[in-house]
Amino acid sequence: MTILASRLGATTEPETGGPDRRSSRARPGTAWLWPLVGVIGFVLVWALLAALVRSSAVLPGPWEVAKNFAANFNGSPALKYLGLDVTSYVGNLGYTGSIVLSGWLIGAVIGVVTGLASARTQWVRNLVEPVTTVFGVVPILVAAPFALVWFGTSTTGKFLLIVFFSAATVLVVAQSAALALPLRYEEYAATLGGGSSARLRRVVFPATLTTTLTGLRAALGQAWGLEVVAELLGAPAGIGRAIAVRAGTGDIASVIALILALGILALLCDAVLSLIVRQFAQWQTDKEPS
Amino acid sequence: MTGLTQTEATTGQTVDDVAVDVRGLTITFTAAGKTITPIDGLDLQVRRGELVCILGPSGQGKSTLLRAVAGLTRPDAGSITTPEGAVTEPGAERGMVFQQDAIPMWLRVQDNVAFGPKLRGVPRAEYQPTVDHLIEEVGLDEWRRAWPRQLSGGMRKRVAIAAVFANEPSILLMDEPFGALDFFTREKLQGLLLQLWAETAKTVLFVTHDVDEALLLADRIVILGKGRVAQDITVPFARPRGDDLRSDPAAIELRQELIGRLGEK
Repeated sequence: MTILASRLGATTEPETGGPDRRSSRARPGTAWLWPLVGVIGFVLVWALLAALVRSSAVLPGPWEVAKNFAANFNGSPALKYLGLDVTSYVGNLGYTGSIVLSGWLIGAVIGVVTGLASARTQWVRNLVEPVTTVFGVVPILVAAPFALVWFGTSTTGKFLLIVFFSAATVLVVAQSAALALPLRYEEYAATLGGGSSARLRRVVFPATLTTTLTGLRAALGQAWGLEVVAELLGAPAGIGRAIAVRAGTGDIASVIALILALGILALLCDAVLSLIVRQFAQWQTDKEPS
Repeated sequence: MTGLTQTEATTGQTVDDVAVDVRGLTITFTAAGKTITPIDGLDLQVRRGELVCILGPSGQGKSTLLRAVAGLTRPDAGSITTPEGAVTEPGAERGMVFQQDAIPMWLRVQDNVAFGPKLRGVPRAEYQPTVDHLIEEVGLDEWRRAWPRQLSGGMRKRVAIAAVFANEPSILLMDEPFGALDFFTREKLQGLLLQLWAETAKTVLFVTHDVDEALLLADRIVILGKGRVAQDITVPFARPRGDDLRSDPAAIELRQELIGRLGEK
């Protein structure tokens, strides 16, 4: 009987050995080049298509969209007229972003704690697994109308929905990472005098951190989608709501500007998270000593 | 001289001398519907500062015994006692070096060596001099900031040895720690272990299937068979033992007899 095997399903198999040489093949100086080429290529193709279509009502060009965004950045009379509580693009970005980020953050904390706890304690696992299994496969397009029925168009409903789905996503990732951690790491810590909570803090948590952070990135991407879809269906403000009302009036330049602004904001958040992941993954990615 | 004489380990020592006292130990596993008993009523006493090698082929319960002494495997019957009391769970006084790499791969070498004291909340000022000394002693001073992934298998074992010594256990349990290493690396690490053991006078239980390793390291060699101590042999050679052990007629004779005994299991 293995005493520490109370961490259920823990494997005694060695992790895949051998150094990861991906980073040593990479050329960091040119890493930014291809994304830049992609963006420039996209803008050029877009401008070319807009020039061919010759109708800004159908496909406005990049410059026209940029002008629209700048003009409505701090305040948009049209949004006010169309009944949004928040009447600037930046305000609506902030509204959506604050719900997404706060809901995701709280969900992430719940997910990490529950995920690690469920990997170590049978009753916690029994408790959460049916819920995550059932709701984890529910598509966003189904979850968002459900929230609308239960909570109406209130901010609270969307916030809770994001908390729940972020927690469920992160929980599954954290639990899997903790279960895949070979048991000998915890046993080693135990023979050095590490108690249960010390092992959780100094072994299980750091060992699973990089995988969990990857799960957090996925959950954040999902949270943006969930919030915007929920706003499209009904909300007092937010980028999703602004896109819906602008689409209703046929203002394609505004729709494209808002979609791009949302995309760039989500991309920036992901980039920050990616930097954090890279920082914590140094032990897996630092290149071989020469 | 054969050396194959039973020691008086179980009879000729006082309670104060005993670092590990195993009595009537029985451990049973169930795997694939079958019940196996690798340890079946085993008795073993190890004196303070003694280096005992547990020798035997695979499946004779060597690692199971070591894990039980570490407190990682719970006995079905019997007891294990150390000067700190009955063993019921892992504890810092019984440090262990595992066969597979178990050092945290997410900690740099210097943090790995300090891992035990940090886990126990020891103030940095107390453990840092020992950690620095051990890093130097195991020859990893230039690799302090390296990640374990960046080290060779032998270097990772040196980290593991330094880490367990830095935690200052009174009993050191080593489960075939050098089994996966090449001959030359193994020789170097055996020398390093003997050096640290001589400096610290710790009690060492060392599991191996390598007869030459046991002859080089051990004060006593214990051979397990049918879940018990089948042979308990005092190694009669003076220290330091070097290459001449391989050509010493008495050592050759003892080696042959040990191999013969192991073949009977």
